[in-house]
Amino acid sequence: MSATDDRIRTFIETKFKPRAGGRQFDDDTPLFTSGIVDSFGVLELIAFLEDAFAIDIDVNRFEVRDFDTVRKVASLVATISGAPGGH
Amino acid sequence: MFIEPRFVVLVALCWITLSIAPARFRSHTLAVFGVAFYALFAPQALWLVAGLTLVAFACVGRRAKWAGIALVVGLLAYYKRPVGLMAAGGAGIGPLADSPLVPLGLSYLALELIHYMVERSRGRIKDRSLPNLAAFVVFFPCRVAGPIKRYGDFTASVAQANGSSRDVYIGCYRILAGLFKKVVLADLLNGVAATADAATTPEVAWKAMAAYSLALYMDFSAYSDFAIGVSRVMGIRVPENFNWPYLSTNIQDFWNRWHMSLSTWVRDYVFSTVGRQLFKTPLRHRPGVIATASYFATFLVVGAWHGLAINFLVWGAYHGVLVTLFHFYKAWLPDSVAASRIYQSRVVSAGGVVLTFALVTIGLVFFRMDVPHAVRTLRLMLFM
Repeated sequence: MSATDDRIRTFIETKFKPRAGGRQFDDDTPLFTSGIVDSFGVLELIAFLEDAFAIDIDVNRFEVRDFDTVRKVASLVATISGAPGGH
Repeated sequence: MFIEPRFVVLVALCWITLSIAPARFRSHTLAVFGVAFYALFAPQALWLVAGLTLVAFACVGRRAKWAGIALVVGLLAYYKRPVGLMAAGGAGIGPLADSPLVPLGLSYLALELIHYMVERSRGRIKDRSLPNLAAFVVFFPCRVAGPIKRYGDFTASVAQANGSSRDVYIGCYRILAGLFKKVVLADLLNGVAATADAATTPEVAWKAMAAYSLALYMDFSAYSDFAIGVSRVMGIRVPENFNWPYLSTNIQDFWNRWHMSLSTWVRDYVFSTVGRQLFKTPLRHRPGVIATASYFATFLVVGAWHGLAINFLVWGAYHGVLVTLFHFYKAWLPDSVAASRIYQSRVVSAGGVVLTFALVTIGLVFFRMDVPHAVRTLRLMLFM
């Protein structure tokens, strides 16, 4: 678990209320396919990641499924920012 | 068309040829039978389709991509322009198939070609095979009324097709389900829906429009069943188009279940593109404005794709309003309410289903009728 994971998880928990209705939520919970994050939420998530981690996400290189879990998002951020391995 | 003898013969011959042809010639086979389909059913559209296929194949590079997309969109707009009765959005022009003025399948073909050009430009389509592209473009089971395919998924499915007896069984079952929906349910409901034009009371107007909503679903999903079923008989899987849309508990849920191959297309190529660009502007700190603009742009495109008549644009704008309102509703709904047992109960869900169906049905008034008739029917339905 890293600071990157924490920031992403906190943003998602604050913004998208993934635990609403008693849903289970962890780093491997599907965000998009489960309906926690909708199409606009993906855009908000990308904007947050760019601001928070000072990166530029080229959406042509990634698909929605690359943003589907906290773990995948953190891995994507690590890849773009050149951090080793991520997890 | 799907039950015409010449179509059935075409399917049978294609299936037999696919069964005996070496795997490396599957795309060639599908391309040849796709051309045969156009030669049989719409020979005048064949050159246009062939030309657009070559244009899409040749459009390599950023500028060429945009030129290709402009050509496809321009042609679609030309053929979808309001002409005569179409200007008033005449009844009967629906989403199932193009009007007689539009070259067969162009609406669906256009979206698939744009997808191909964009994804190739993004580097996600690396395959440079003209036979594969031709097979994708003229794949005849999906040419009349979709579903709108994705190139990578389609070519992978063609490569894996093995024409098993299980595929034939599942495909035939799906075709029969479509036949039942079309011949029994849709035609029955269309009889009730026909009374909408002459409705003089709110009860009759609601009954007729509710029947129209259901008939449209039965009709359209039946066409999708035919397309999916015929494809499956050949061992090829194409996208699903419907997932019980009238069980949706809200309007966003509805668009995740209705005409899914179109809604995912506009999500990927209109909504995300518009939203992403707006997030790069000073509006970045006003996400509500971006959401509103993105949803409106998306649903206006959906409306325009069905026809460049006022009634389709009104229908699209109406859904833009609904989805935008739902977006803000979700954002403003207190966590405590959203998580409450009452809000999560089946009763509230059932209420959501009824409300969503009513809202969709109200919108379909503009889908079915020209604007003056739609306004008259709407006033009746809303007791105005």
